Amino acid sequence: MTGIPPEHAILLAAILFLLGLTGVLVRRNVIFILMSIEIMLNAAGLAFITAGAAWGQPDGQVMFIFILSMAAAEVSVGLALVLRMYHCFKTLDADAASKMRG
Amino acid sequence: MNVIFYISSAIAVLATILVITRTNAVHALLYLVVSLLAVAMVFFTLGAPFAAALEVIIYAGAIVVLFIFVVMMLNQGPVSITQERAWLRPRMWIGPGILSLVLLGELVYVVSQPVSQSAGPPVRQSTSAPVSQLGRSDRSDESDMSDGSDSLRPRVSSLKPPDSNLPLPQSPIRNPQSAISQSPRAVGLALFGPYAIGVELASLLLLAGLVAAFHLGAPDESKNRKGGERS
Repeated sequence: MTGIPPEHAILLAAILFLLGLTGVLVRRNVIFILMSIEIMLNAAGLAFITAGAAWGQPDGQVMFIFILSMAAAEVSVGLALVLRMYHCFKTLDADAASKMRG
Repeated sequence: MNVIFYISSAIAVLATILVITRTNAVHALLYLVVSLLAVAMVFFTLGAPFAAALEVIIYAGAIVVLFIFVVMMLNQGPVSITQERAWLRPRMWIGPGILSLVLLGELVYVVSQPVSQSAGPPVRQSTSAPVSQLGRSDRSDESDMSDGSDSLRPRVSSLKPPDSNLPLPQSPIRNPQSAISQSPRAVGLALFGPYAIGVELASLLLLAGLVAAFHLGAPDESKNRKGGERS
């Protein structure tokens, strides 16, 4: 509708998602992992918006709002877990909490 | 609009690469804000201004502030002052500053466009939509909305003023040709019409997140209680 081919926007979403996935896999700091998860959720929302714009329907934005609320809930719980983990282990290394009963 | 889209996506990719390669959390958060703003600009060029505003307000405004709170909370004590001073050296502002300046230039360019271009096709199509097409969409709406959302339909229709001469974005689900369905009005109608159960579930999810954050973020009483039980 705006002259932008949807393939390019989907490609951008895929690139952002892969960058977020790379961040999750590479980094061991929990805060960086959470940030990468936010990037991946954002890329998923971008894909929904692109699809909604390609078909001219508001469903993509509705799904983006749901993703947004889910990301807000996820980040609040995740950051509370990060605080709790820092109080327990005195570090932010994700490998420090790799044992389930330590 | 095409050039703006490609510049914004280049900024988004560049800022995201810089996010996942920083070693410092505050620097990464600066680049994360830039990346989210760039994605908001991409949303705007895709014709979703409501989603762009939500992206700026909630992602760049609320979620990143939560991250900054946690990063600052985890570094307490007198060491943190010198650490903060070392984190926010003027040299570190240059990268996000340049990227955000490019975004600001794009924003100024978009805003300074004439209204018919910056607002996009929705306004033009809504004012010039033929009446016969509207009547047809009205009838198709009656048939489309009758599946499963009968109880919600009267509430939605009672919300709109009866004498509005704006053409309602009827049947936002199955009207692929109407560009007005991208407007925030159509999003709201779809959100509280066919997707009302999703809104309820999202509210439940947010309540669960609130309870979980309150429970996990509370001061460590369980350890004291356990220690009290042991002793």
